[in-house]
Amino acid sequence: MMLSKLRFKQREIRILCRLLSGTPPDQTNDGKIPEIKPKSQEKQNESTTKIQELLKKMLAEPKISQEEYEKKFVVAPERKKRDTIEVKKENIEESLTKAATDVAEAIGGDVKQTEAELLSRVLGKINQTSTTLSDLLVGMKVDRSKETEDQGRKETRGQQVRRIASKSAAQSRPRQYEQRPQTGRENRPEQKSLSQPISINVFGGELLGIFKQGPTNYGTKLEVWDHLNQRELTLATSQPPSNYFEKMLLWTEQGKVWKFPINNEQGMEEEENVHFSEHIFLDSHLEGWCPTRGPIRHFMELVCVGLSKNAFYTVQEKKDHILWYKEYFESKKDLLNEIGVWDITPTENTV
Amino acid sequence: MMLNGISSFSKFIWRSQEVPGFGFQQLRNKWANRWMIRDVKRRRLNAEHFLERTRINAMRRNTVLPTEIREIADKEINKFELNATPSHINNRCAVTSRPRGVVKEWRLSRIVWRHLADYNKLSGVQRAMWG
Repeated sequence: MMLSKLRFKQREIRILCRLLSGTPPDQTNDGKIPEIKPKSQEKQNESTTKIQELLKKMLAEPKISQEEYEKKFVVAPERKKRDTIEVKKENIEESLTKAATDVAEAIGGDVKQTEAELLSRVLGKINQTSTTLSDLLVGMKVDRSKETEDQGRKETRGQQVRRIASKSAAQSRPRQYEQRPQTGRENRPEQKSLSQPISINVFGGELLGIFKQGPTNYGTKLEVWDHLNQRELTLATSQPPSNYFEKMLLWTEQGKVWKFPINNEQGMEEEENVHFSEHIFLDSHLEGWCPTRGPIRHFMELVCVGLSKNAFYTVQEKKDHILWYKEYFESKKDLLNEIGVWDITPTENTV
Repeated sequence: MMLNGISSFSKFIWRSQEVPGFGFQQLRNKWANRWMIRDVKRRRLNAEHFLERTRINAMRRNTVLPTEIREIADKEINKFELNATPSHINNRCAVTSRPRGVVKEWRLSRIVWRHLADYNKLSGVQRAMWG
């Protein structure tokens, strides 16, 4: 990684040198040497200082921290790839500078300054995103090469499903007369001369739509078929877990595995907001109807004790249990009064 | 209408265990045999009347309440179907409906249980090894 950073700096220096020298290396090949006019010697000096400033800025700005650098770029690329990428980078840089000089020459005037401006513009834009042009290009190149490799190797599961579905649809399409392929039939009689027998396209005309079969429903539901269709659809769309972690995810969704953080009352949503005291202190449900002493009171208290120890009933069920006894005893009121068990009213005793 | 009637009729046959085949057609259902169907019926009735039966039974089987009430409760509990009593439930193998040799925790006959255990289909079951 340090190496790559170093390289990047060297490259910058190279660009700087090239620009300072005033003749990009490719220009000699083209044979187009920019004319430097003696008049604008001062201007040129100004421009060179400007360029220097700009380039210094460039060097100063993209100080990327170690972590960012690791995130953005492949830290230790393979040797083969590195070589190829560097070649590409060089080419791009050269072509950029070349293009800039060409444009500057085409415009005329102060060639050097325009070129510098152009270059600074391009580079400055990229500097705004806190990366240099060359590094950006490195990332792009690597990604592209990976993509192409992957596409060549295998198609995704979704593509497979789509391909199969389209194939099956094409196969299952009923071969009726009205759907016979009409390509190339209509053109034929025009091409042929009159002496030859004219073949008339019977199936090429517009359809009247008389025998079109609409979906007739007699009120029957093919539940089995619907179910099977649904199953087929889910099987086609859903993907099996590709590794053990995905499998665990699936199990968690299906409720087979504990969810984190571990909670002992997981899945007990019904009684989530019920305080335990409501489970245990059930005497309050006896108030208002139960006699304050006597056998019935005794019995109902026993019932309450039993219910308070029951871990399986919900609070509502416990309440229902007590209220059932209330209704039962109230329906037998006459008999209970005869025995003298029911008429012990709460008011008498409390006073 | 015809089709609808037929479909509903077939559904009725399909769902009713009392008339498997309806006398003219053999039908396959998920129960192993008729004794198993009988047992299922009893279990259903038990579940249906469980709450009421236990409540009345609690009144019957205590010494706190006066005898008059307990006698009434005695009469009431006899009004329930005999099939709704838990004592009529018979533990059978859930697969083969075998009435004897049922391994209780799995509700399977010992033969089915052994077969499944041999093929490692029962979780937490290990062959005994010592010595």
